[in-house]
Amino acid sequence: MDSKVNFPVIVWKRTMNLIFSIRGLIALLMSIYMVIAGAYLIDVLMESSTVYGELITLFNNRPDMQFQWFFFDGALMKLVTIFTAPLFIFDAVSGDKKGERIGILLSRPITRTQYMLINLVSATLAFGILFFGTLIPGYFAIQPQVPELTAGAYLATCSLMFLLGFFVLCVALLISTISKSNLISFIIAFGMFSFLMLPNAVKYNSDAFMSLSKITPHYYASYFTTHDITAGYFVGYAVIIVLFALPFLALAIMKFRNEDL
Amino acid sequence: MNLQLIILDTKSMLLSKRAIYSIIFLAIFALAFAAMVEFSPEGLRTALESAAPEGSAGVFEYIWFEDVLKLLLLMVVSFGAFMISDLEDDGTLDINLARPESRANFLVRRTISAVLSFIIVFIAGSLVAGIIAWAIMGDLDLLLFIAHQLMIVPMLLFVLALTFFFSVPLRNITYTVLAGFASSLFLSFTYSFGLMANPGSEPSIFNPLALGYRVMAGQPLAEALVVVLAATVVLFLVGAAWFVKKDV
Amino acid sequence: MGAIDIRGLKKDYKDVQALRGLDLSVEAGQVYGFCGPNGAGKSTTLKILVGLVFATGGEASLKGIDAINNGVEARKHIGYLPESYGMPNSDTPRKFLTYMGILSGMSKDVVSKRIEEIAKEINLTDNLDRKIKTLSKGNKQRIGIAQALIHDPDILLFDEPTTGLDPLGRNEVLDAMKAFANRGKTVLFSTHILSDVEKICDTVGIIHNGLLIEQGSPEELRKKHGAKDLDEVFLKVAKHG
Repeated sequence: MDSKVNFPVIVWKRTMNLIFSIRGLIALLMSIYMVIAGAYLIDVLMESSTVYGELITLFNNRPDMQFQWFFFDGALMKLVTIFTAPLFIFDAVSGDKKGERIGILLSRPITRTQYMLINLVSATLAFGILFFGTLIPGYFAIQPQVPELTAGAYLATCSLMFLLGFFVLCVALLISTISKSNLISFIIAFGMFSFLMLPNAVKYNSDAFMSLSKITPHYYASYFTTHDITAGYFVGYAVIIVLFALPFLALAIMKFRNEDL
Repeated sequence: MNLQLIILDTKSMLLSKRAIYSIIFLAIFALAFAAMVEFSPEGLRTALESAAPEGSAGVFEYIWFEDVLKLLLLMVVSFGAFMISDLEDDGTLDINLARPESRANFLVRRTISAVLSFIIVFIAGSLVAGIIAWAIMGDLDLLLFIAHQLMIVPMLLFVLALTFFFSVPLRNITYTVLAGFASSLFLSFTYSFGLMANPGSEPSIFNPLALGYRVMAGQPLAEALVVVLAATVVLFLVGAAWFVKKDV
Repeated sequence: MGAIDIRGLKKDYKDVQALRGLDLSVEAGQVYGFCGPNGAGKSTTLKILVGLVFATGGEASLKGIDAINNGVEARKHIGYLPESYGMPNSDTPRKFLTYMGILSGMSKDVVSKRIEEIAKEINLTDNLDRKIKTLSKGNKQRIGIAQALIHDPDILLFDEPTTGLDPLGRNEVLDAMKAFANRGKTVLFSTHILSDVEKICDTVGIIHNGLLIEQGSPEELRKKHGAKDLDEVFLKVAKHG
């Protein structure tokens, strides 16, 4: 009998389980809601009488980028990213431990590193499918409202936001590995990501905050909401975001590999 | 009603990680937001002040009720999960229900402990957050801030009842927390977007999560408060009636 | 009237009839072994007696008290050990048992004394103040038994109490149940381990597809079926359903 483990099939099955679950439904509804809100609100907000319109103008004086800033950097999609990405992984390890499934899972011919990567890749795929699955159709809903919006700039920012989601997944995987409780893992993940957003949210307040924001991946993920896109910067910033994520992934794997279960 | 058990449950909740993290997060956010308001450039401050009442303290409260609300929701959802999901999670629900106590009595007792411990933690967290913000900003009226915080307690109890309601059919702490948190986030976004689209308007009284905004903006409270309390009681009663008749 | 009386008990789940009119009676002071294949309805029966699952029809009483409609009163007299259960792992057994005692209607002082008594009886004294998560499976099962005994009930309902324990642990559980019965109390326990039944039971009941299909003392059942032990009786009865 061929005892080779078919990882793609395992990952795909797990991905589908994640998508067709309550968490998948919550993530999908949240993303759709934000896209609709973005498409509907931008016109209203840009009327000069609203405080949000003033804020958008204050932070970004380029009309061709104001929607991008509001939609991705201002609040909407960044919140979706930091809330929905952890949904797919916050209980990956802690849930298997708590549900006493971990012994059975690890008694299969897979290494602990492979087990962690199965969790991460499935969660990344599930998040990516829902994220792009909502945002790409969303472009066609939003673009008529914002004629200045170009597909290239929109997709580039979507991709960097997706990588920000990958960063969130890696950190949440580490939290799930350390924590013994799903609930605590969720609270820490959400609280921490909300906190990590802060330096970026206040980067315009002072030079100090601007410098501080540059040590968070959020700064790089939302760079093209205020700057023209260039291929070099895009690739460079994509790499930087992944580099932010990798130490957390490495820590999670190292912690789990040496842990008595 | 067994008072000793209520005290034991409340004590164990007060010493739980979720209580400690709640206070720590509130303190961190108070520090971050107060610093953000204090160091705002002029343009930003003017824009915020046009939306928020009275000076930098008003701006702080405006941001607090807009952004920290999300964290408060998670905090109260975790206390709502205490009522039955915690026991399902650690596998002790059946031996708890095997005691000579009616399920209705059991629920009332757990509710009192959850509400009591949440209010204590919330007040403690608000005090810590208020003191930090006051120390940084100077002009924050600490008493008014605490009074505003207390006025949003009914809204948070609505979220607690909502979480309890979800916990009855879901029977799983993870899904209960996700459902409670996501549905309350949805309600909070809905009124925020409504206000973005119609600045200066009053949010609907039928959205319980808008009570915080009403408190901060000094809008009329009476009708909204009645709706919040009625929705809370109905959610709790329906959840309780369901739980009392449910196979465990 | 027996300590436990069940008449025509029925439980329907969506598309499964777990109990189809179960009749069962256990006299006070007896140890009753409740056997049957997986899915026969043993756990459902115990859960209905405890009020965790609601019967679709029939009657059940504990010491003459209606366990279905007057559950609170009935539960004053029972100690229950589920088949699988968790415990607050970061608490100590003493804290957990104190809570369970108060929940059973005892005062804090009385519970404290009772914990010492039970701990002595089931060899838990040395571990009373260690965190539950640090204890072995055998010791955790002792805590499970202690929570069932804490309020000195008249009837014990144990769902597969010896499953997963080593021979030493199993013997301790069986001895505890026997000692309990020797004090005039009643024990109803479900199990797959028929040698346990032979060791301590006065009466054995075999349930299959939600009905009691055989009942008697181990001796009577062996004779009736011409079998050398209860395993053989069980196989014959279960096969013919």
